[in-house]
Formats: sequence, structure tokens, C-alpha cells
Amino acid sequence: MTRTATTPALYDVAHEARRWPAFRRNSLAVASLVFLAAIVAACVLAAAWSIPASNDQHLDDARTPPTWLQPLGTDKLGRPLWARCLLGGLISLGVGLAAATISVIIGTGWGALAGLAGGRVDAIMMRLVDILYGLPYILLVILIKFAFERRLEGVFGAAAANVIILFLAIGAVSWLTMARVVRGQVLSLKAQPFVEAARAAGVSGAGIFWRHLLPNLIGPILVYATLTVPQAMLQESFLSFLGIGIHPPLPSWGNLAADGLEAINNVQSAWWLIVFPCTLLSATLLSLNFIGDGLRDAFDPSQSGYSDTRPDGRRNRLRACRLRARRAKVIRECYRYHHRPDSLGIGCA
Amino acid sequence: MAKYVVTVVVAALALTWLLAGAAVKHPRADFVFVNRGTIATLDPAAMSWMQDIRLALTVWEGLYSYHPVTTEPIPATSLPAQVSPDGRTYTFRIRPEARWSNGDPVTAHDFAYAWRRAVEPGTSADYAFFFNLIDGVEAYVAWRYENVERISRLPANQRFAERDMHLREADPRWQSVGISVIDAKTLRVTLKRPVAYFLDLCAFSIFLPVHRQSIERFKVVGDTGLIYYDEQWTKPYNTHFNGPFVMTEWLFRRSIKLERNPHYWDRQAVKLSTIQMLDVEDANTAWLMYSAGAVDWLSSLDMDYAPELIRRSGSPLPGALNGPNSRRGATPTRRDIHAFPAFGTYFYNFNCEPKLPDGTDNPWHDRRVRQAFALAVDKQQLVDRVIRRGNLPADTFIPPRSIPNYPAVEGLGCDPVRARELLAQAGWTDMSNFPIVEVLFNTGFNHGQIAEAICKMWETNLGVRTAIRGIEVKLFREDKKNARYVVCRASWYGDYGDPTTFLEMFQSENGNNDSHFRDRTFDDMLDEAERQPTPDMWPNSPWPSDSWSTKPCRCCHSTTTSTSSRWTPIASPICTLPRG
Amino acid sequence: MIRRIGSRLVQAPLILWAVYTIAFVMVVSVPGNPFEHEGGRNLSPVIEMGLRQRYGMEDNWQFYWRYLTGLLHGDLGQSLHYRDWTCNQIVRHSLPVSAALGSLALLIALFAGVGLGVIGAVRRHTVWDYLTLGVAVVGISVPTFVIGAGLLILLAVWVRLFPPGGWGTPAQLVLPAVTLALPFMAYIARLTRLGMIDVLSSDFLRTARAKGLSESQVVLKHALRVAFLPVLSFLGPAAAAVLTGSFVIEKVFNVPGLGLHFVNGVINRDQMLILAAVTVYAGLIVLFNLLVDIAYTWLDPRISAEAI
Repeated sequence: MTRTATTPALYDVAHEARRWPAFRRNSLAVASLVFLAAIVAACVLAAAWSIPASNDQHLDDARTPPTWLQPLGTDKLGRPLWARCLLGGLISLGVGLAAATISVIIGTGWGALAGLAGGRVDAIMMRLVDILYGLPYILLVILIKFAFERRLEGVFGAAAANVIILFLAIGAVSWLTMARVVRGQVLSLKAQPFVEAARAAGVSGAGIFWRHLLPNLIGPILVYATLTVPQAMLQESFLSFLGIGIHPPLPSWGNLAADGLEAINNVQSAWWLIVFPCTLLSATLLSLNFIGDGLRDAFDPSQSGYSDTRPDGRRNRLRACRLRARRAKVIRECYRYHHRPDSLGIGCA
Repeated sequence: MAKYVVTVVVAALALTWLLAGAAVKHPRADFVFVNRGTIATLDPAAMSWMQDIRLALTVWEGLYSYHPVTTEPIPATSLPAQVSPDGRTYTFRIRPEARWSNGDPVTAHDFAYAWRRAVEPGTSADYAFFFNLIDGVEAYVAWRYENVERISRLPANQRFAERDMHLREADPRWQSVGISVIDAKTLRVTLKRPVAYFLDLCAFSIFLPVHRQSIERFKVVGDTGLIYYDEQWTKPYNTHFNGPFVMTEWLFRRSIKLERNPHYWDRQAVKLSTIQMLDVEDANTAWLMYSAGAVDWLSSLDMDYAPELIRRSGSPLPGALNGPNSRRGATPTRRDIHAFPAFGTYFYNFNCEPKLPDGTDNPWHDRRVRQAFALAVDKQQLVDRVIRRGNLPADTFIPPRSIPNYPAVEGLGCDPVRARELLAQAGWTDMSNFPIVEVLFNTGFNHGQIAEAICKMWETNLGVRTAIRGIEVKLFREDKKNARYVVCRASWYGDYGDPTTFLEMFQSENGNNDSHFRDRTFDDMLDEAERQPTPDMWPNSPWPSDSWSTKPCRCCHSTTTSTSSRWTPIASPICTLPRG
Repeated sequence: MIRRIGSRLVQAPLILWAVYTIAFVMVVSVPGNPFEHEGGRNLSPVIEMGLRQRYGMEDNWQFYWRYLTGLLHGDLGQSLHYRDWTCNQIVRHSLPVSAALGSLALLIALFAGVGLGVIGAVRRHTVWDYLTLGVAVVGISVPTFVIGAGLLILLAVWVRLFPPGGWGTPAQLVLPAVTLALPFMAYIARLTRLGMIDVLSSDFLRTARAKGLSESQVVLKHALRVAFLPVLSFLGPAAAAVLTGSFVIEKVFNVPGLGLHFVNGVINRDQMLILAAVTVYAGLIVLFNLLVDIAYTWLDPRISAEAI
């Protein structure tokens, strides 16, 4: 399916100047950023202590509730929960970040290539993305993990291979939205005058990409990367909960939640084993989602729903009109090319 | 618009209701229990899992069955067998009133057919080797395998003729095997040599009969001559049963329903009329269902808080109440948790090959090193503090006093000083060069905990460096089978009442010899022992306590723990089978 | 519209074949012998040879083609671990369970989500609005097994209002369906709210109000129809996510659905069951996306005007 017209511009370069102040105004996003930074700092800085402590078994002290000595209590083997939570956080966040990074790299590469190449190549590449979108991704993650974990074990050792294959597998199936967004943006940027000027001046294709396109892509990439991290973390926690993600004795928040779930029964209740890991996991995911939303608002106010509100709370009719018109245009363009708009309203599904 | 919405909602809810199969409410069965683990297969010839066997022994009945309390073999479908004076020939007379659930009488032909089916290569029966005790079976099976392999190497167009010719010879050959049907109610079995535990074997699941007329239509003859049966025959609507209960419904991984068999010969003794078996994967959920009263019996307690439950039960097993977490003098609060000793051992295998998987010399090839490592483990501490489920520490491989006429042997205890001496004798004075002791186990249960505890003991007592490696169960089985480990965990349950069920594991050529322990003397001694009719006639000297140490060390006996409430005495439907 | 649906129909078998091939390659690369037992006796090589011969699995190529031809006849193969069951029987027993759970969850999510979103949009900056946002945020961020575990503890262990799991009675449907519905409800609420906020200030609604229609008619009959479109768009990937999200729910509540069997199949290396599950899931998703496409064209009059 060839395309001659461009898909609508998603992110206007002129908005750039307003991004950081716009983000700062969103107090929820800023608070989440602070919280996330605190958690990441705690996990990383405490690694020197949490790694040895997380495997320190004292069977006599198994399942003790939180005390001054053991602020979060101990688990069924007497290991301190604070160390397991911190190390688990490091691993979960690490997997989430690494998976998001991989998906950014693959997605950007794919999308940019498709957008720059145009024509047939573009159509085929995007059709593949469409196909992959319809696949049950968790099945693929599980299969990839099982198929390749053994081979990595020989190289990295069992524990490292476990973590590596997990973020490789999750990253390998999470790049689809990124590819679409990047492609849309590249297509619209490609038609801008400054790119034409660069081409006329003799800049090579790669040069155009690195020097002209990429700086303008950073916005949407950042937004979607921030939204991919919680998705990846959720997937990892699902897999660990099912027992096929991070293997014990390595902790991860999903693992700890699974262990904690068994701790709730009418015989021997150990509420701290499920409350702390679940709270940490949920709070981190929440803050990541808020930050992602804040970034998206800052980069493209048409998504937020708050954009037509003035600081004093009254409605800015003119801006509301403009935003509606822009969104309607996006939708119309999608239909023109036999697609339906995706749920985010920024492009075609 | 509202009309559309309402229609859609109603239609969707109706569809959901239908799909959920929630339309019919069934009355609760008299006895509901949870069988540990999912049923893998209900083909009595092919099954090897405890939960499958438990169910099979409920719906079918063999010549003999296990006494519910003493687990001695007692006559069931057959009247007490007549044994010839040389102990080699058993004559079974089938009860005249024994019937299948459709009224057909149980005949000796049913047994002969089922047993022949069990040894056929196509049935892929793990326990088919039990039949090797019968005269002529081994030769017949070998002949079949040989021909099947030969035919499979032929090109496709020549196969059918060859196969038909081969199968025509099979029936006359089978007549020469020691299983003969004298008349409709008499079966005669001739063994290769006298075997003390043959009646015990007759109660095992692979010796169960099948309803010939029903299974015959599922028979498939492969193009290489393999005969196998489409497993759909095990569905309740496809076959008939001769046991105290019949299976009426089998929902995959959900439940099995059993009903009293009106044609069972001992139906007066059967007190329950319906039984339901639930398949619950999560031990915690099973316990919650039991607490809520939805389930009457759990066949095992696998959750983390099982030691706490056992402690509260006041179970009489020694070792369960001595852990540091127990409050001495606490009165037991529960009466419904019972721990039984099981006929099995949990142990660790040492790799006995001359070289380790990474190519370096294997220190455990030397017997003294193995003994040293066995002496350095404090099994009592393991049982009290790590496992805490009432297990007994094991100094010997075979659970002591479990086999009649088999003397209990003094094994290795815990003696770290002697362990270090032995290591020094073997040439290991400086332990820093000792290879890293890597313990392999499968993730799940508490294998990891046990491994870590043992590693710690070795580190403290012997000064070696240790590492643990926990992998998934399928990969673990492969590595274990091919000796790609340094030390690995294992467990073994006995199948019949004779020491060979444990000891044959260490024969050089045995398929279950995961430690690759090869010793000609041991093989010869075991061969000679097998020729004796009973264990107390085994040669005296072959088991000096020294030779015990040539085998991998033992950790502890396994126990099974189960709960029961509303336990009414029942004739023989569910065998708790402490053997495993 | 016909052309678009036609092209999708043609592409569907190709997509399924591609999925099958990818899955097959990965399934045979997974180390581990499907026939080896997890406990007890080791598998003897002779027996293994017999089993492989019987199921046509001696050689990977042969297995690939045999299974593919079987698929074309509707035969999903034989479970290698549960030898008494064919994959068709397993799927027939468990797919309705997963489908019932999933569709009930989606229904709850749809109605509750749209309702919350509409209320939040109509009553902006009030308690209802913040409630909607709160639910949206919690549903998206808190993992389903946490919510499931929480509900299980609260309503099945402490209070004993519902049974702690299993399948067969209507009471056992409630907790798993509600848990599964929550993340989707959250997302749908959010989408609806955004859409409604946009639409509520439209010109055509001003006309409707001027004509004298009541506010509820304006909102429900006119505005919702337009605001619903992004939600409908979302239903396609939502179906995929429901199928996969149900794995965890099935484990927490012990529901015998296809997800649980797939996970166990992977652990047991039951190659045929894995292939069967992947094919069934992919087929369902392709089907569902097609249905959503059709529904979309029916709902949005702009499409038939614009698309050729």
C-alpha cells in the first residue's frame, strides 16, 4: 500500500520551548519523579548491603514480624525482607529499564528505517508490525525465555542469564508502539522544509537522521519509553509470579508477591510478606505512569484533557477548538488510508 | 440505543453462563478429596505416578490388593493363590462372583490380555520390567523390539508385508510365555525363579485387568508392527471397571467423579456411594478449601506452613516436634493431621564417574571422599530445622525395618572429625584445591533450602567451597540422567517389598543409575542375592557396613502427611499407600 | 469496507501460519525432553523411540508438516504429558472457561469503565471525577495478582463470602472476573473520560441542547456514540491482553483455563499442547480484531463516507 501524502504531524517542533515548564506545573508528575528517584537511589545505593543480606538465612528467625532490628520482617527462610525488597527492586527496575531500552532501540530503528525508506519497504515493515501487534505477546515472551535461557547460562552463569534473557524477551516484544510512533513522526518530519534543505545541501541520509531527525524524535521517544517501563515491569512481575520469570533465590517484586500470597492463610499469617513488596511495586508503577502522563502532557497537550483549562480553571475555548480540530484531522487521515485510529488518538492502528 | 444495550448485555450474560457450565448444580459427593498432583494417565499399564495409581486401584481390582492398614497383599479378585512347592508356579482362581460394571464376569482372559498389553513395546510402560520375572517374557519382548526395529529400517512399501508376517508369528510365541489361561476362571503363572514378593507385585497397578471387549476397538497396529491403543479408551464412557467404584465423569484437570459399582463382588463392604476427586494445583488453595469444608481429605500437605500444622497436630512421629520452633508442652489443637512414614528416601547423588563434567578429575570417584562428605552432614539438624515435616534421618539407603526379613544395617552417622581423617587418607590435606562442590536441584518445594543447609555444613565441617544450582525440573532430569552434575539431589520410593527395589538402582547397567556408580563386585553380589528366595537368605558378608559408603549418601526418609476429617472406615476404595 | 474486510480475511491464514512457524521454531529450541518424567524412573531410550515413532516426532521437519496438516484438518494433536487427552479435548474443556472469564471481565470493564468515564467527564472537578481518576490510576498500576490476592484474602479467607477458587458454580465466577476486569476498566474509564471531555463542547451537541433535548439524552445518545470510538479501538488489543492476563488470574483462583494449561505445557515441554495453545490464541485474536473492524465501520458513519 503506497502512500503519497504524509500522516499528520504528531508533535510540533514549536512546542519544544514549553516542555519543561509544562511538566513542572504538573505537581503529581513532579512528586512521582521525586519518589521514583528516591526508590531508585535506595535500591542502587543499598546494593552493597542488600545483595549479601538477601540470601542470609536464619531458619530460627523465620517469619518474624517487623521489628526495630528487622524493619520489614523476615520471610520463610529467615532472610531479611528489607534486603530482598531492595534487591528485588533493583532487579525489577533493572529489567524494566533494560527492556524499555531494548524496545526503544529496536522500535526507533525499525520505525525510522520504515519512515525514511518509504514506499514498499515501509508498507511491508508496518504490516509486520500490524501482525505482531495481534500476537499474544506473553506467549512469545515465555517461549523466547525457555528457548534461549540455557544457551546464555553457559556464557553468563545461571543467575545473570535468568535476568538477561528476561529483559531481552520482554524488550523483543515491546517495541511495536515505539516503531509506529517513530515512523509517524519521521514521515511528517521528512516533508518539512528543513529536511529538504538539508538534502539539497548534500547531507547524506544518515546525517539527516542523526542531526536533524533524531533531536526531534527525542520527545515522543522519551514519552513512550517512560510508559514502556511500567509495562515491562508488570510483565516481569507476572512471569515471576507464575514461577517462570526470575528464579529463586534471586528476588524480584513479582517473586516476593507470589511467596507472600501463600503467606496469607488461616494458619500462620505473615501479612508483611505480601504488603511490602506489593506496595513497593504498585507505588513504583504508579509513579512511572504519572511521570509518563506528565511527559505526554508536556510534549503534546492535546492528550491530556487539561490543556484547555487555564490556570484559574476556566476553559480556553479557542485552544479547545484547535485541539479538537487537530484530533479530528488525525482521525480523518487514518480512515483515508484504510486504518482505524488507535486508542491513543495519535495515529493509526 | 438502550434496547441494543440491554439485548447485548443479556445475550452476553447468557453466553457466559452457558460457557461457564454453571447451569446445573451438582449435589456434593459423599467424599471429596484432593489428589496431590494432576492425573497424568489412567491407563493402568502406563502409569507411574502415585496419584494415578491411587485412582486406578479404586476403579479396578487386580488379583491381589493391598490391605488398607498393613499393606500386606491380600486376595482380591482372585481367591488365595496356590503356590507350587518350588515357589515358581502360582495358580490363581478368580472369584465366581467377580464382575465388570456391565455385568460381564471377570475372566482369566482379561488378565492375560491386560498383562500381554502391558509388556508390548507400544504401550511404553515404565514398569513393564516387573513382568521379566515371568518365564519367557523377557525373550518375547526382546524379539518384538528387534523385529519392530528391523521393520522400521525398511522402506515404506515393504513394511506392511513384513509386519503382517511378523505379527502372525507373535501369537504362537506368546503361548510359550509363562502366563497361561487354564480355563475361564483359572490363571497360571510360571516364574523364572522363586520370588518372595510376587504377590506384592500382583497388587501393583500394572497387573490390573482391563475390559477386553471395550479396549479392543481402540487397538491400532502401527506400520512398523508396534501395537498401541488409542488412549481415549480410558475415558469413563469407553470402558468398564471391576473395582469397588466406577468412574462416571472425568473433567480434564478439574475433577473425577466415582460412583459405587453395583456389580462389585464385595459391595457390602463399600460404605460410600459417591466420591469426587478435585484437581487443585496450589497447595494453599487446597488447604483453604479443606478449611472451608468443601473438601474432606487432602492427600498431602505441601505448603510452607505444613510444619506448623504438623506441630499443632501432635502427630506421634518422632522428629516432628523437636524443632526449635515448637513450644514444648503445647497441647495439640488439631486432630485431623496425620503423618505416615513412607517407603522412600531423599538423598544426594555424588557423580561417580572418573571425570567431572568440566573434564577435571573427580574426587568422588574415591570411596573415602564420598564417605567423608556423608559423615559431614548432620541429618538430625536437617530434619529438625530445615524440613520439619516429621521426617526421619536416614543413615541407610533402605528405610530400616520396612522390609520383613531384611536386617537393619548400621550406617554412617555424623562425624566431622572422622570425615576430615578420611579426606586426608584420600590425599586431600589441603582443601583449597578441591573443586567447587556444586549441588544441583530442581526448583520448587524446599530442595533449595536443603541444598543450602547441606552446603553450609560442608563448608563448616570440611572447608570446601560450595555453590548451588537450581534449575527447572525437566532440565534437571536431563542433567541428572546424563551425570552432568557434581552433586545432585534425588529421591526414590520403593515399589515392592524387597531390597532390590532400592539397590538395583546402583547396578552398572540400570537405567536409573544416575550416579554412574559402577562396581563389578556389587553387581555380582546383587545378582547372587536376587537368586535367593527371601532377603534373609541373602549372602551374609556382602554388606559390610563399609560397602554402604560406596553409595551416595542418604539424607532422610520421606514421609507423607495427609489430613482427614469425617473419616469413615471404608473397605478398600482409596489406598493411602504409605509406600510413596 | 468490503474490500478492507476482504483483505483482512485473506491475510488471516497467512498470519496464523507465520505465528505457527515462529512458535514451532521456538518450541523445538526449548531444551528438555517432552517424554521424560519429572520424578521416578528415567525414561528408557527404547520406550522413547516407540513414543516418538507413534506421534510422528522422530524428526523436526516431519513433525512440522504433520502438525500443520493436522491443523488444517482441525486436529490440534495429542498432549504429550497428559497422554489420555487430545489437545482438541483440552481446548474444548478449557477454552470456554477462559472465554467465559474473559468476556465477563470485558463486559464488566466496558460497562463500569464507560460509566465511570462518562460520570467523570460530565461532573468534572468534583468527587466523581477524582474517583474516576483514582480508579483509573489504581487499575493500571497495581498488578492483577495483587488485586486478586487482596480480594481472595478479604472475601474468601476472612469473610468467606465467595469460594476460594475453582470453577463450576456462579459464585466462583465473580472474583476472578472482577479482578481481571479492573485494569481494563481503568483504561476504558480514562479513554472515555478523555473522549467525552473532547466531545462535550462540540458544536453539534450545542445544537442538540438548543433543540431542547435533555442533558442525559445529549450525553448518552449523541456524545457517547462518538466518544466510544477510541474505546472500541482499544477492544482489539484488550482481547489479546485479557487472554494473557488471565494466566495469572487462573493461577491465583485455580481456574482451569487454557492459560494455565499453556504455562504448564511450557514447563512440561508438552510441545503439541504449546503449539495448540499458541495457534488457538492467535486465531482468536485475529478473529476478534476482525470483529472490531466490522463493528467500527458500523458505528462510525464517517468511515463509510471517507473510505472507498
